[in-house]
Parts: sequence; structure tokens; C-alpha cells
Amino acid sequence: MKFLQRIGALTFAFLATVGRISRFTATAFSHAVRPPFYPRIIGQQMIEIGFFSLPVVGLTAVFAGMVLALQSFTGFSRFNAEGAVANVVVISITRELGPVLAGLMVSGRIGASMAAEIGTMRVTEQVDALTTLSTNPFKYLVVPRLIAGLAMLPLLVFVADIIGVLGGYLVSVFSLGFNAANYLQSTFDFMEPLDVVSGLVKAAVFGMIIVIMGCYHGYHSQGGAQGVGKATTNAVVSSSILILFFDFFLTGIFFATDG
Amino acid sequence: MDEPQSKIRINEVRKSFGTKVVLDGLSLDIKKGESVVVIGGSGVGKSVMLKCILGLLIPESGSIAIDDQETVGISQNDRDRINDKVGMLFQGAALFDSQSVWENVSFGLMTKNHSQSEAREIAIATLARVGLSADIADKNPAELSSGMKKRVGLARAIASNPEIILFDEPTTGLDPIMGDIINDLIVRCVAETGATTVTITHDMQSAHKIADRIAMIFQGKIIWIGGTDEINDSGNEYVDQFIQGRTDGPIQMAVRS
Ligand SMILES: Nc1ncnc2c1ncn2[C@@H]1O[C@H](COP(=O)(O)OP(=O)(O)OP(=O)(O)O)[C@@H](O)[C@H]1O
Ligand SMILES: [Mg+2]
Repeated sequence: MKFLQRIGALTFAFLATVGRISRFTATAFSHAVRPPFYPRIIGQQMIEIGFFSLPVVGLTAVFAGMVLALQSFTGFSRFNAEGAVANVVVISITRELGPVLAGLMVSGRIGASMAAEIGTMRVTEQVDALTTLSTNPFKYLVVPRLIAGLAMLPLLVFVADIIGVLGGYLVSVFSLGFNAANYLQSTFDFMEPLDVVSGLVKAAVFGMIIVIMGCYHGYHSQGGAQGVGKATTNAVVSSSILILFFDFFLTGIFFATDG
Repeated sequence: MDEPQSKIRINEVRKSFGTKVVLDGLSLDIKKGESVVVIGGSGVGKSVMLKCILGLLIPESGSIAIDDQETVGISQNDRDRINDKVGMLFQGAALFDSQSVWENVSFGLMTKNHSQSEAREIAIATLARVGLSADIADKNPAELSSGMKKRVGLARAIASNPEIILFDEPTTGLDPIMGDIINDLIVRCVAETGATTVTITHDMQSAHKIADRIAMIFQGKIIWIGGTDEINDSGNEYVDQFIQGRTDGPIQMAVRS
């Protein structure tokens, strides 16, 4: 009985949190379409999210591409199917690894810093101060980050796609002895627009998840430095889990009918 | 034109956090152009009262009217319009640490179609009013001492010449001379711009200087309010104990319980 009670209580708490986050998201989007807008802050956030994440996202992508080529080569050579390496690399990178790795990396970088920054502003009453200066904290803090996240994640993932495929190419050509022209040829022959497009759509969704979780936990943090620390951890953990969940979910939608 | 009209009318406001009742039917009527000082022990809910006036905290019941307009339960848009008339100095200054000092001071002006250079000029002029020189204008708030932060917060609160200014402990953390400069500044704000001010302070000397009336909060209510000249013989033992800073008296009972 005690056990069932606990399960019940946890379920309610979980549903309540889902409800609060949904409302937070809805509020953010409703403010995103109404003035005033803060183009300068949107620009700053775009640079912060898009430009400064390039090194870490690029590095993860190039190594992911290289490992993919190596692993699929050892696997496929058992069936004399080495020719499929290019195919596997390009599909895995564009559909899955590009968006998921970029999403996880950016959530560690950006989600954490958003939660810490907004959380500190909350506990030092800076968020309250915004309100008293007739500035809506949602419009000023959340919306610019949301727009920047939605815009920059697909761009980052597009770059990650290119770099990831390049990583696979480098290993295949310089270490596994593939012919460079043939490798590129089969990369482009196999790749379908939907592979890339689905990855970019995922990226936009992940961008939204990262920003919403960072802002939500920061916005609702309380209790000084400890509270801000908790908000930061929660932001990263929850956005990472949600990214993997939505990745599965979106893959189902995009490729349910695939052969 | 006999009785001056109410600027802020707080009526029977109740606010609690969980089971802890902080404001328990607090009523306070502040006239236009009046300077009211609120005193009371640490943690009795003085800051909470200011936050209720600003709409940062929503009372469970009761009414707060500003210029005869009810503010409890109004829409965000109406709230923003009311907050345009109000300046607030937070107890911890609450400066935006991602922005420079002058951007902080002129933050409320930026939304009102001032150009960048105009806003900067106003910011520097306002900094001068609180005794700060122009060469800190480009500094980051993190580089300031806490007394300087307080004064920058003060400058931000008064920069747009609001009709109502709320000061949460404006002189705490300042040396006596600077404290007195700030007292003069508040007196001048009221005299020159006709602003209505509510000031929270623990500093009785400052209270005497700036207040038209002094109100004391205890256990969630205003237990005494009267003219500044009346406070020394208020006949209220809570007030007497508080302004004399004695440890023995009725207030101690509440501390022990
Ligand atoms: N956000 C909050 N959540 C929970 N409790 C709060 C919150 N804000 C204030 N309180 C409680 O309300 C009470 C009054 O707090 P308040 O900050 O108004 O005190 P104060 O009168 O301003 O004291 P001081 O002179 O020390 O600043 C305190 O007991 C505090 O614990
Ligand atoms: Mg206080």
C-alpha cells in the first residue's frame, strides 16, 4: 500500500511538472510573436549558441564519422560488403549522430549556462527588477534564446553533417584504402534529401528542448547558489533525456514506412 | 482640493508562504506626494509588502490600489503600465550583471525611445545625483563595492522620474556621510518631482529626516502609524522598544516563541 501510494505521488508530481513545462513553452511561444522584440540579444545568443559551439560540435562530428567508418568497415568486411561503408556513414551521420551528438554537446554547453545565468538572475532578484522596469522577463530572457536555439541548432547540425562525413571519408581513403572518387560518388548516390532534412528538423526540436529546459529550470530556481547548481544539473539531465526520447519519437514519424 | 488623494491604498492584504503567514491583514494608505517610512524587525515582511505593491508577489486576499486602480489580479499589460510609474530600489540592489553601470541606470529609459547617447547622458547625470562619478559608468556592477551598488540601484530607480519610488533600505551599507546624502536625495525627490515614496529602513535617524509619516509593521499588520514628530512619544510600547533598540519589552516574546 505504501509502495502504491509512493508510485501515485511520483506520477502526479511528474505529470504536474510536464504540465508546468508545457505551459512555460506555450507562454514563451506566445511572447515570441508579440512585440517588443530584442534583436540585439537575439544576435548575441545566436553567436553564443551557433558560433561558439562550432569547435566542440565539429570535433565530436569528425570523430563520430571516423569511428563509424572504422567500425562499419570491420563489420562489413566479414560479408565482403565494404562498399556499403560510405552509405552507412552518411546515413548514420545525417539522420542520427549529427543531430543527437550536437544536441547533447550543446545542451551541456548552452543549456547549463542558460540555467545558471537565469537562475542567478532569479535568486538575486534581477528577474524581479526587469519586471519593475516594465520589461517582461519572458520576452527579454526566454524568447531571444528560444529563437536563437531554433535557428542555430539546424545550422550547427548541417555543419556537423559535413564534418562527420568528411571524417568518414578521411579514414576510408587514407587508412582503409578506398578510392577517393568512388567513396564520394557512393556517398552522394546513397544520400537522400529526407536523411538531411529529418536531421535538421530534429535539430530544431532539440534546440527548443535545450533552451526551454535551461530557461525553465533557471527561471524557477530558488534558494541561492545551491538552487542555481541544482537548476543547472536538472537542465542538462532533463534536456539530454528529452533529446534521446524525441529522437526516437521523430525517427518513428519520419521513417515509419521505410523499407 | 482639501484632502490629498491616495496614491497607494493597501487594504487588508494577506500573504503567506506555505503555512507561514507573513502579511496578516495589512492596511496602509499613502497619500500623493507623501513620504512614508516603514520600520519593523528583520523578517516581519517589509520587503514582501513592497513586492506585493509591485505585483511581484500576489496577495492571497485584500486589495492594493494605485491611483485608485485595483492592481491585485490585473493583466500583465495593465501591470506594465502601472509599473511605468514606479521605481524600485531592491534590498540587494539587483543590478543586471551582464550590463555596464550606465546601461543599468538607463535600462528603464531604453524602452521609451531614448537614443543611446541620450540615455547615457541621463544615466551619468543620475549617477551624479547619488554621488557617483562618470568614470564608473562603463564598469561592470561586479567591480563595485556594495555601497556603490546600492547607489547605482538607487540611480536606476529614480532615473525615469517615476511618480512612486519604493526604497528598500537605501542607506544600509553606506557610511554616515553618504547615508545622509542619500537622505537628502530622497527628500529632494519628493520636494522637486512630487514623487510619492515608501522607504524601508532600520536607521531611525534617516527615518526622522525623510519621513512625513512613519509606520511600524509587527506580526503582519501595521501596529502604529503617525507623524514623524509623534514617534518619540507614541505611547505604543512596541514602537518605544523598537526605536530605543531595547531587548526587553513586548517584542522579545515573539522572538522566543
Ligand atoms: N519567496 C519567499 N519564499 C518563502 N518565504 C519568503 C519569501 N520571501 C520572503 N519570505 C519570508 O517572509 C518573511 C518576511 O520576509 P521579508 O524579506 O519581507 O522581511 P523584511 O521585513 O524585509 O526583513 P529585513 O529587514 O531583514 O529585510 C521572512 O520570514 C521570509 O522567510
Ligand atoms: Mg527586507
